[in-house]
Amino acid sequence: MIEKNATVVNKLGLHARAAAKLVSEASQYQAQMEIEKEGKRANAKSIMSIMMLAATHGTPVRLFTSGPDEEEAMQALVALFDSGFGEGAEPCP
Amino acid sequence: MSVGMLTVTHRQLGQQLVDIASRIFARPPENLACYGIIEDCDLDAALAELRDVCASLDCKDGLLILSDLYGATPYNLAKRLMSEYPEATLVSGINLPMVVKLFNLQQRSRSQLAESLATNGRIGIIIEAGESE
Repeated sequence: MIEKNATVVNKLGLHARAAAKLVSEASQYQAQMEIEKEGKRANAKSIMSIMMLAATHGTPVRLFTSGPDEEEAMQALVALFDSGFGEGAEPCP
Repeated sequence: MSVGMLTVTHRQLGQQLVDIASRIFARPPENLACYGIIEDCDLDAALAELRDVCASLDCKDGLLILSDLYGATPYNLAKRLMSEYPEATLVSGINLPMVVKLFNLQQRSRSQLAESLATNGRIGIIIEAGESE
């Protein structure tokens, strides 16, 4: 299993379209992929699981990947968070 | 699995929810159709229209119907349609969390799809009290 810290950097946070993008990306990997916010874990391949995190701009999260392609899966997750899910990064409070 | 999916709701409620979810996922739904009922409509005529809508779906592995208010006219119409589709499952209480899940489903059987949609519809309902309580 691989673990890494990340932050929600886009202005709108992990909103519906960002979550849908995350799910689409995560679904391409075999690895189990999870996002943790304040001790609450979400399955990165389930849109409602991600939405239930209600992660806003500036929220720190912990990423977990586990499985045969866990390295590539983690790289993809980190890239998505760093790019603000393709929406760009805003300075965090 | 080819499960046809159909929303049967008051007016454009189902279509609107599907349109919003389509915008969220930036793609149209697959094998899904929407039918809206206007109050006091001719139910026999509505059923005939609904049959035509169903004919446009691939229901090789069954039909999954989502209606809004349990016991209301769209629900009753869906029940009538079910009598003609033995391999149909009806889930009432359609909401956006449920429809969003429709776009994020793994290939599953009809009963698993129904269970998954109902579960997501429920977990999307959260009560949060304001500071004054």
